[in-house]
Amino acid sequence: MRRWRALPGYAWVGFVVAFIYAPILVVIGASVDPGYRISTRSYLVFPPTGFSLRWYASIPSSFWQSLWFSLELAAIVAAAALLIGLPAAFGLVRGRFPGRFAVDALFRAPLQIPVIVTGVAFLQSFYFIASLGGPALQGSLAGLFLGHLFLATPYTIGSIAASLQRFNPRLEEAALTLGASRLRVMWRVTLPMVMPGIYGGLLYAFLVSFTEVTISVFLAGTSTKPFPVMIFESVTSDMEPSVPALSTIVFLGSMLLIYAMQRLVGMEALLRSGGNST
Amino acid sequence: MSRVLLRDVSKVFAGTTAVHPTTLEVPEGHFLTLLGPSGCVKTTTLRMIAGFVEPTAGKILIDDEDVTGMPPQKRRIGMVFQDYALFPHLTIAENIGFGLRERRQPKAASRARVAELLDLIRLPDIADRFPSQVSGGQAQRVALARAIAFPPRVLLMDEPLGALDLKLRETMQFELRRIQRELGITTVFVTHDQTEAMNLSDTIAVMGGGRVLQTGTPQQIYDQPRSRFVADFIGQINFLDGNMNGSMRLQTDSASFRVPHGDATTGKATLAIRPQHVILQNGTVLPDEYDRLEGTVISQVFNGNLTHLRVDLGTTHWTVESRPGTNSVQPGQRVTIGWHPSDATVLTQ
Amino acid sequence: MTARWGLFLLPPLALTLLMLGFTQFIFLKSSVFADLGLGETGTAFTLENYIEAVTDPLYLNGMKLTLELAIGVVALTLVMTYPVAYVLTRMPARTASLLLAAIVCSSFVSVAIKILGMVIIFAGDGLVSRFFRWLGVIETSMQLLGTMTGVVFGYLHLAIGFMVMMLFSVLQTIPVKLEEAAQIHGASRLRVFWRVIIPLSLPGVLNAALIQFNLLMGAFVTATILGGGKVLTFPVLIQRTLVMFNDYGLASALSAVLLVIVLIINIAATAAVTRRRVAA
Repeated sequence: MRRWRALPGYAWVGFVVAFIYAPILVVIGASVDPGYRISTRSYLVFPPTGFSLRWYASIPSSFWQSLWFSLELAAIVAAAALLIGLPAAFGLVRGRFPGRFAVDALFRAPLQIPVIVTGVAFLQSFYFIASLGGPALQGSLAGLFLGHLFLATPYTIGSIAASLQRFNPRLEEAALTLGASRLRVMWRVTLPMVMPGIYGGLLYAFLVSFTEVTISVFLAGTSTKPFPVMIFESVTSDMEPSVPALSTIVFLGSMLLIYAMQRLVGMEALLRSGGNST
Repeated sequence: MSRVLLRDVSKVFAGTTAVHPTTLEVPEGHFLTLLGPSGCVKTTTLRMIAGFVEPTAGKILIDDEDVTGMPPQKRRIGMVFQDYALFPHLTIAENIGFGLRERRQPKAASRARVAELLDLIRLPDIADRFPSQVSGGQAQRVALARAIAFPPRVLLMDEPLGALDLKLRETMQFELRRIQRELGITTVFVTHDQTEAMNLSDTIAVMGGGRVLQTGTPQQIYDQPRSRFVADFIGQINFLDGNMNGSMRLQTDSASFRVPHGDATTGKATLAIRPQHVILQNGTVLPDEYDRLEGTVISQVFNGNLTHLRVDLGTTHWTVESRPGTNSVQPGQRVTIGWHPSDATVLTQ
Repeated sequence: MTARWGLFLLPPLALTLLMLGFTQFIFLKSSVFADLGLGETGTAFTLENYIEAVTDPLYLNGMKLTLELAIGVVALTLVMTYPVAYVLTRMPARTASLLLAAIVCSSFVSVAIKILGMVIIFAGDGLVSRFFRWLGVIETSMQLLGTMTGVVFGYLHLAIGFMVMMLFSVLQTIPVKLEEAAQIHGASRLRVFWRVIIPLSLPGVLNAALIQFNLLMGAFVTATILGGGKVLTFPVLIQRTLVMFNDYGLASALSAVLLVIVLIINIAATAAVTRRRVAA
């Protein structure tokens, strides 16, 4: 009897989930449309008028290159975010000093500044450095790396810190009484238990970099274009018909990555993160 | 097996003295319990012996070696925590063998030792399980096995039986004592449960207000408490306040009572006597040498093998303990209770 | 011993301070110099960029529009997603996990891809247009690209996933037992909602709303593509000023204005929430 009352709630949830997935499904659908018409924007058709994989075959090499570039970039960003985030998280959770709250806020600051402002700020800074005779960071891999790192690190710190906070300090004490040195305790007890936070942080940093559009648009160069920028430019100017196909490939790849991560760290850690870009 | 000595050890946290200068001695192979109400004194003291808390003043010696500044991993101690602190990501066997691996014991010898310990704690089959897959009682035994795998000089236990239900607790107390006696390890045990303390210990140190109030065997603490706090904390006891007049008598408003034990002091004092030493005058008249008081019955509670009678004596309530069936009284009834003076103690604190 | 951990913070802290401080300083610095065209900047300290930013109706309207959009979409999203989050917390765990997983996955998809999908849906001969034509509501094709409606839908799309996740974690903290207790005291389901669940979840909800607001205030991709150059939100204007007009000074000033407004609203909102907490 009670079940029926839950129905409207369930229906609404279903609707919202469908609403969220609509654009993605549309892209997938459009990617298999065989349509070949002359005018622009007609490539993007949904529901598909037929089924064809031709767009998958005709993805230009420049797009594949940009995809590869994005993957490499995201990997370096994730690694760097971990290098910075691990000591930061430990210091934040375990340190005892006045002003911890301020430091915590400082690490979270990059997320509170509107991304567009960050884009402008970084671009200006790169020009400034170049004008002083330094390296030209705008449009370079290094520049993009810095911009992405700036955005990704707070998430990594947050993920590891959250895992660390749940960690029972008694475990470390027990290990000490059993004769382990501080380093061994870290290696045998603490790090293994904080692994979910580390994996989550890595995944998050990777995805933040991989999917970032705004900063990439500002800081990309002609030969250093992450694939979201390629899609952005495609949509705003000359529509490349195989873009939905490439996007579908990326989508499936991301899902695979998330699935793999979920096997490693479980749903809990994943739910704590959750992308947000506008 | 080692001696432990705390010499004038104290701990001050942010201006508050948590532990006043304390001197404690634990002889070789001895089982000492730090007993007291819930609060941080006992645990803080234990953690100072372990090395997790540094004393503000004083010295801690194990076998005459000053370990006061030494980090825990060098002290060769074993510790069992209240929540067991088993490593969730390692198997039971790996947990028990953890210390052996840290101390670079050869693998074959370690494996044998782990098997030996699993037999000792009577759990030979759980070696490959994970801590999340064993019960509370089993986890507790594993924690013990892990702590003694590489034989420690001293074994420290912080309320290890707190999380177990009564029946299991009693069984575990027995097991613990058996293993400790068999291995002869010097042990310092912390608990707030006085029955547990009395069951397990060679010596009890009753702590309160940041100090050790009295040390002694369970029998000594029970029979000769030296303060109201200790008397009240261990078992049940009856109090009667009054003044000592300097001649071995306690003076109250209505009468005076002989107090053969204790000093012939003057001033405020309390007569203390255990419920089982108080007798209800019932048919048979009390012998002459017995002191007596009159009061009104408040209630009679049946406790299985004993009956507790609550009597209102005007200035205070007393409990009379007896076998069921020996007294049949009604609430509101006027009764006379009495005791032999030598069963009473006088307390001045 | 514990003091040592703090030391680990020093390298990351220094790095963050450097990146944050340096970039903010440079961009603020460039906002106080005039643009002389052709990529040249003046050398005299001037406030003309700021004056233009706050007096030119183009920018004033842009800010008004951005604020309206952000606040409106946040409110709309809250109304839409609160019930979703609530139902998810009271659902059997397995189904809820699955749905949440789906939502989390969707949030890891690049905005660019989602926008692409929306372009397809909203285009002149896209789904929406054909749907309404089929319904007979309109005669010719309905172009939603380049309209406010399209942008609102786009914003909505991106905000919903995030909000569901945040609200879910907030509502998860309210134990079912509280609802049961209220019901025993005679409250109907609706009253339980109103008197128990909503008040308890308010701080967390406001926090989530604030974060979403920040994200929407800086939203650039959605407004640019779905707005088709006709919906001029502040971020769009900033990018134009930078890329189309190469006026770095003005772009920086506009960014600074945006930053300040967002900060002020954040502080005001947090203060309001804290005061509520203290009062309660």
